Amino acid sequence: MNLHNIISIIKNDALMIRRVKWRLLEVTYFPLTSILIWGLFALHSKQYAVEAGLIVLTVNLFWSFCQLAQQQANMLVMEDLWTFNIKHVLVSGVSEFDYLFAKLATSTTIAITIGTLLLTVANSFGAPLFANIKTVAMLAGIALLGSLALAIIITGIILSVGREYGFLSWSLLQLFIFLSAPFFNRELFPEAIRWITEIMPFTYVFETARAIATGAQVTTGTLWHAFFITAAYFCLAWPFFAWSIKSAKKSGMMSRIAH
Amino acid sequence: MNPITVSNVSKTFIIKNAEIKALSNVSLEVKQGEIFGLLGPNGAGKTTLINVMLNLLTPDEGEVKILGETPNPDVLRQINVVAGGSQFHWAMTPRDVLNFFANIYNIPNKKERINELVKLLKLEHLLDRKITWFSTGERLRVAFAKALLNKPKLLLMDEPTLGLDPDVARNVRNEVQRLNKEEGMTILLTSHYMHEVEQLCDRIAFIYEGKIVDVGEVKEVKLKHFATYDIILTLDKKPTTAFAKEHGLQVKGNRVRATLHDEDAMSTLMAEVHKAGYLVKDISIKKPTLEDYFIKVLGEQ
Repeated sequence: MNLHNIISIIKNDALMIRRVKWRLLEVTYFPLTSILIWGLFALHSKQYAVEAGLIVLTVNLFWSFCQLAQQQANMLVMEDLWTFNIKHVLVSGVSEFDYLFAKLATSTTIAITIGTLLLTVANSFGAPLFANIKTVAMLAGIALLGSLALAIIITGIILSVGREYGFLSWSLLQLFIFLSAPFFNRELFPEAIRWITEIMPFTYVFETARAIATGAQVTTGTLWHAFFITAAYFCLAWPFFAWSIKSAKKSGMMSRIAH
Repeated sequence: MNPITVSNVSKTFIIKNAEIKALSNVSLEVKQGEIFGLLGPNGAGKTTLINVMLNLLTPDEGEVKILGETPNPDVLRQINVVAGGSQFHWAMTPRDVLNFFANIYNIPNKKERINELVKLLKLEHLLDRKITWFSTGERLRVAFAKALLNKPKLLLMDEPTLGLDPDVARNVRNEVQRLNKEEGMTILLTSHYMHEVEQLCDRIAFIYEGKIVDVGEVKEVKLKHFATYDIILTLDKKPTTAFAKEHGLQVKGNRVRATLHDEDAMSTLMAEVHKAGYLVKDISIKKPTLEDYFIKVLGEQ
């Protein structure tokens, strides 16, 4: 791993974000308005059922955080594909791993920065987040690991099967979120597919988020469970990425994608 | 050690269950300090071969050695590539692009080197303008500057003058020659412009349907396919039939055409014309060009 290359790419991405007007605003706009909507819903729902509004708000916070981390990494890759910049980078002695690592680092920085803003806003609407900040921080770390794992897998898929699969950058997470039972108990799923929730990266993240929102006790076991699953995703994502690169170079997709 | 050694490289693509043989047992060597031209029609395998050299494509068989090693990130840092139609992020400026790649290549005295290249490629007035506003030629100049940043030992040029105005293309050719002569840079060039290849390249390889058909010096490969050339003389008067017959000339008025086999034959003919008392008023030599060669080889294949 070449730290010098990684830092150079991160700096370049930061510069690119600065150069593209409205980019940061766009990245902030959707999650922030979403948190504002659900925050107001949480306030409104107080008169009916306090917990429902807070559950939606807290889960949305983690959902947005996951989306920022995964989507920003993949969008940075897609942007390099759309502008053909990726070829210049990959033929300049930057390994594919350094390249992806840099993108993940940039997206992590964006996710943490905007995520902190969202956290503050959600807390101001009554979600007990600052009160449980240690658990929230741990949970965010676990959610980040799962999101980055998905970003790695999606990058691998795009590089090995083509840029037309770029739509996965903004759609695949939705499926994982759905199957992770975000706002509801996983027992609500039909029994035949319930087992899927067990292997989804965010099932236990959302379960813990719901517990935080309702003031229920967060068990260490659930946190460990969430960590092991996302860590497994993260560990398996890298070999998948390596295999994807190898297969893209063999099939010719890598050279096609770079032109 | 040759900067490029390609040994028995084959590559087949499978597209919708159909096999497309892109490279078939290709072998070639590019020597230190030469400008080597890779010719061939569209889809012949030129860019595929360059992609193998750049580690963007794995060959099915054979191997490529760049600077004595299998292409890897360390080797890629010592070479560079410039392709026609190069693009960069639209929101960036040439200064951003050059700074970024100077960082990647770890260029000492980054500012000085960038200024040097900016001056060389006349990018001063464009340096802080977003690339989205650039013409094809201006973009190529940025790509050139990027490609020269690390003073590469080997420069791969894939159709570098494609779509350029003639004056810009000429500047590019002059720069290629200067880099080769003054800095000893080895250059591999692919181009569809035969006059460009003829002007620049020491040796060429002709690739067709993934196979190398010819390799050698430009003169050598032309001679292989065109053993003769024509010379047309306009004399002050119509030559006698005996003179024409003796020297194998075709006569049309006071114009004569001779088909010659080597350079010496031309001076011999001129001496004979002079000796016979004819005055040469005009002379035209019709030597086969690389374009003639290209068309002939293509026809033969």
